[in-house]
Amino acid sequence: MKIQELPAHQIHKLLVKKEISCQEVIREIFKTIGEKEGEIHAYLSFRDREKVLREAKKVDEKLKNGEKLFPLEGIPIAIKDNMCISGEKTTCASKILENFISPYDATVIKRLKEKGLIFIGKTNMDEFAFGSSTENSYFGPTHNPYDLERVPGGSSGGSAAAVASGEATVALGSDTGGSIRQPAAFCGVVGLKPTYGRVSRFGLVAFASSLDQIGPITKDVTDSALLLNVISGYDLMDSTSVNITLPDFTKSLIPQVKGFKIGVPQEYFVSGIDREVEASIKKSIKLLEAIGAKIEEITLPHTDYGIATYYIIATAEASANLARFDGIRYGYRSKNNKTLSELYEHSRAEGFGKEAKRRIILGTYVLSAGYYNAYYLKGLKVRTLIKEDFNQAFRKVDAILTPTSPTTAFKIGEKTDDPLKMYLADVFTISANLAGIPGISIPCGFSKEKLPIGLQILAPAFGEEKIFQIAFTLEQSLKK
Amino acid sequence: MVSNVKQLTLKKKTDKIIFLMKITKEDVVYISRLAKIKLKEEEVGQYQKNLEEILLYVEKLKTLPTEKVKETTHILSQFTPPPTSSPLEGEDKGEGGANRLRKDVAVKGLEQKDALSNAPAKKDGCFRVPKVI
Repeated sequence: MKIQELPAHQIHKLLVKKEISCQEVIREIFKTIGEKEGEIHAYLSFRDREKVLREAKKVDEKLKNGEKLFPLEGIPIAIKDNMCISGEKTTCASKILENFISPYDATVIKRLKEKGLIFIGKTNMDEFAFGSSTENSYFGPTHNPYDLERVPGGSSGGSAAAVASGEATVALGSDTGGSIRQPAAFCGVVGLKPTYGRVSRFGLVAFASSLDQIGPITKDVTDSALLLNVISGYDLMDSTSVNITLPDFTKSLIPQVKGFKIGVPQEYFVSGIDREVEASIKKSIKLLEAIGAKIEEITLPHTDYGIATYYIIATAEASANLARFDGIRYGYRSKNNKTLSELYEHSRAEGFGKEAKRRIILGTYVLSAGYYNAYYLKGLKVRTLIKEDFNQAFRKVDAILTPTSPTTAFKIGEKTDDPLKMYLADVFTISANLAGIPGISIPCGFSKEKLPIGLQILAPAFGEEKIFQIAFTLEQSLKK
Repeated sequence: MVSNVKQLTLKKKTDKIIFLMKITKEDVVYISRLAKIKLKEEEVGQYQKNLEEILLYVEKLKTLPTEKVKETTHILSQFTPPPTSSPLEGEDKGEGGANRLRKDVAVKGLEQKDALSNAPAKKDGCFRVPKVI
């Protein structure tokens, strides 16, 4: 098997056995980038190659000296371009941040550096993570490695495509309404949105602060657990990060689901879901049942209100968060201004893309005097109902299994003219963000057109261990 | 389409019936001023259409009775320290008193030159803006 196709834990074994050097791993990734990046466009920027190779050389020297490596030390990682790496660009795929150089490291980046991962570059995304297809990037779309005419999903489409194509071994994405899980599903990789508060967001450009979480995009479930081990934990710099004891997530990689109660929500198998997706998910459900899990039909009665609630809360928060882009302290400044007010209005008009403006305007509207109660407050109340749905369900079951997305990857351009249609692509992933709970997407099969299908497992808050155990078991069983 | 929704929301019993407003171009211009984004004429028309469609979709929330439902402002408030006998309790301090502040001690922050490193215009260690008055 080629190095660029291997998961990180296997590369680690080869490194430790000295069957391969870290510099060779990095060169293979560079080679893959050279072959594929032209047609995929997973990245927005690359780190200096000599710098990257110097870091690899250090890992090789450590190995030569008989020093022990961290589990992901020397592993090439791609970072979504909304997380700050000191001295590197962070553009959020927006013109307004086209030339922004991060003056500090995000907490996740600091943690990855401490454990020796090697950053390859920053990946493409929908501008400010506003989208489900990576088409809303100022720098052009990313193409799905399985079919170049299709989207990789979004908003972390560049990260998912990079891992799927072997342009990186692992990656980080961010997930506000499905932005890690849906592209993972479309690209046939594993994507985890951790519990709200599990991973610090310090240094992540905020989209909707009550929903955003950073998480791993990997080739398999083992890598996902390894990467979550590195990035999770309390951080003083993020007051929403939760201070609880951290488990070793790799301890949950046990191929055993006997006694697990897994809920299947009836509301997720209604009209609009692709037949092949449905069949593939049902096959996995049967498989889990055959190996000892107890499957129960459950109900999440407010599922249908998820998207409406989400687009009120997320846009309201986005309009507030994006108020910081004023053309003064950083970012694009319009030359066309005489007064301070014009400076704001023109810099933002010229710097933000179409979808960013649409969401800021919608968010400003739902927060404006006279509409706040009718929309924003209403949204917060329905959020309570959605959260309560999950609380009820998790009294009966350990985890919930659903499709990640109602369809496989759609064609580039198919939904760009209809924002509402695009929003509906997130129907199965949005509730987890609203409820603050963790969710993973793992590949569970292919359509006739050879497009990957993703399966989602949800668990109660801080129930990532359950997710890993079920996902790992299913992954191993599907291989057989 | 808009008038249909009016009837529909009136038929259902909700805690607060709000009529669906037709979004006018003037509304969009007003909102864009609040958001400090200067829109072009064609953008005003486009966003007017988008906003109306999205708000029409969002109308479905109004069919849900939520009179007795408490709004969620902190999704994982059960993981933050519960309110004590604080004299501020009952005030809008966030669900579960979840405003967590660190100790008020000086720590090293971003250096001035780093904070200014991305400024489009600066002078004498300050961000430079057009004349205000």
